[in-house]
Amino acid sequence: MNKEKAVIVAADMITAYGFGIPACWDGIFSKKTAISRLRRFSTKAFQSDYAALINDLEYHGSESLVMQTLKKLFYKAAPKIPEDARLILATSKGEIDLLEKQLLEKRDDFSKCRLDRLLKKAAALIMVKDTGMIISAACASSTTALAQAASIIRAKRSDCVIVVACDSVTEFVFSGFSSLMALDKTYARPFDNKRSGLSLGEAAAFALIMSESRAKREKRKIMGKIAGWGLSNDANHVTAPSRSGSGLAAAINKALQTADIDYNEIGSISAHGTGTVYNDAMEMKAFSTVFGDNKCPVYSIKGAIGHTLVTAGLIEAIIALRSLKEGVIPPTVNLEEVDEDARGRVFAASCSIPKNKMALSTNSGFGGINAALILSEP
Amino acid sequence: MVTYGYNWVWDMIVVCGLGWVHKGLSSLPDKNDVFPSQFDNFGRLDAASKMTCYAVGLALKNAGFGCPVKHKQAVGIIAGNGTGCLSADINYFKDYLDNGRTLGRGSLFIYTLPSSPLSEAAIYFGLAGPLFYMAGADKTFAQLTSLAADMIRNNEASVMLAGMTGNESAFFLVLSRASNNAGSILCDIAQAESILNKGTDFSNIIKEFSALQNKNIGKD
Repeated sequence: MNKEKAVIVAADMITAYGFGIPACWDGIFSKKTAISRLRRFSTKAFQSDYAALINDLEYHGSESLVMQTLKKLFYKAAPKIPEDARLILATSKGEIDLLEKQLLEKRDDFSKCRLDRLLKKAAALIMVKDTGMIISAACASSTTALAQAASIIRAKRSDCVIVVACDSVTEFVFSGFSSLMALDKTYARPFDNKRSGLSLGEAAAFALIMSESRAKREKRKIMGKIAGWGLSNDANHVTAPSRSGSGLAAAINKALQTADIDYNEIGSISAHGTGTVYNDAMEMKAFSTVFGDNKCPVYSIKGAIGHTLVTAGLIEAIIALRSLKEGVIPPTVNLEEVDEDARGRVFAASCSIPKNKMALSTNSGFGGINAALILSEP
Repeated sequence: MVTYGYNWVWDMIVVCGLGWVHKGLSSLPDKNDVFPSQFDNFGRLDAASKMTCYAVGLALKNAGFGCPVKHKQAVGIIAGNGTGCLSADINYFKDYLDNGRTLGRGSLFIYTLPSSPLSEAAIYFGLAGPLFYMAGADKTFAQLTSLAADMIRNNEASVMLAGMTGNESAFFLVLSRASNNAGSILCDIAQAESILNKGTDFSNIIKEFSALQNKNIGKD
């Protein structure tokens, strides 16, 4: 059967480093973290007062943080998005700051905070005809959304899908992560032996995905291909990852199967790498299970831009594509002394990767959700 | 395999089970009928998670999977609604404000993800396949059922649960290939999609699928 290939023809992002992919790429390579002191709300009672925030957003103003961010993101890009594109919006907390505002002002118009309302606003902003769908799979949401976009294209249900992801740092989210004791006191240090938690970050990003045949027909510049994808669940615990890493390993194996490749064809791994003790250890177990003695280099960008929740997977996929193009993987920012489990795989410095190999990008989230993508050059 | 006189195409995606609960927590079936083994911490689950676990349990039982699934298997689950987890969000943040904005309650925060009720069901029933929450601007159930069918076609999972969740009601269909199904077949995916495309009124959907089930039982 002739399977349609899904290719990424456009993408962009806003992170704490600023607008655009170059700002994020250069920021990570500067090795200076974008995580800094948080002033948006009082953090006196919390585990940490650090986060990676986007500048110039108004908190509890007339518009939600994610809508302000999406407007910046699509200010120039929206007219270039084909109006027949199907829309997938990845979000978990959406416009949660509107709910905060309602409750703080002792009002009860909660309809404004519904996820389907955000979906309608996003569709109007991007100017697509499709009414769209929301995908939410905890911190694996945008990876899951990319997988579904590729699946839709492979099934020939559409030849053009836009995946948009957004979440913001609010008192709601920050207090919740603090209550779960998941935050590092200062900066997240993925794969470091003194890591003690994650740092929250906020971001928005999009990727325009087309069938390869349409992209070629329209003479689009192809950034890369979504060659494979795999989703799984640990079926283990609602907040903690499976200690064995078997769920993530299953997702990776599924992605290799979808891509119809052997693990030796993977040249780099963009890990979820949150900086929590259990997540990072679980990931190393999963990578060892799949890759054995093959020490494919692994990196995490969460020490640089924080854990951007649902947006993390999309940003990481875009950075992984840039990495394939440049032939170099980003440094793992804030890594000082690599954990024993990660030795020989994770490095504080950037390093070159072999040409003609593919990249693996993985994410995991609460509820034991795992998602893996395999990306290749055009 | 029971075919009820239809000539199922071996590779066809079919609905092989359904389960639902409605009218809230006060009218749930006997717990022992749905969860024959110990369900640790069932009491701490939020309302949407309890409803989801019941509906999933009934759907799996109806599909002949047995409850609980003894070993983890590649069964996926996707479900949605329009509101996400709005009531869990309100509960968490109200409680946080009541505590003087100093202490969030982790046990409430974990349900502020729309996918958490599905995760609770996955943990109890050992569902190790794809899991996510999906919502559309309209006809969410129809959209996500088609997506679940595509995931089986693409070999992303062998069996998928597709459903709607909420605090007052939950409804799940079990989808698989006709060739992978040891129990009864309710209808093919095209018939299911045609029912779901008529609209999202919960009671009508239940009535239509129940009618199909009763029709099939009559043929048994």
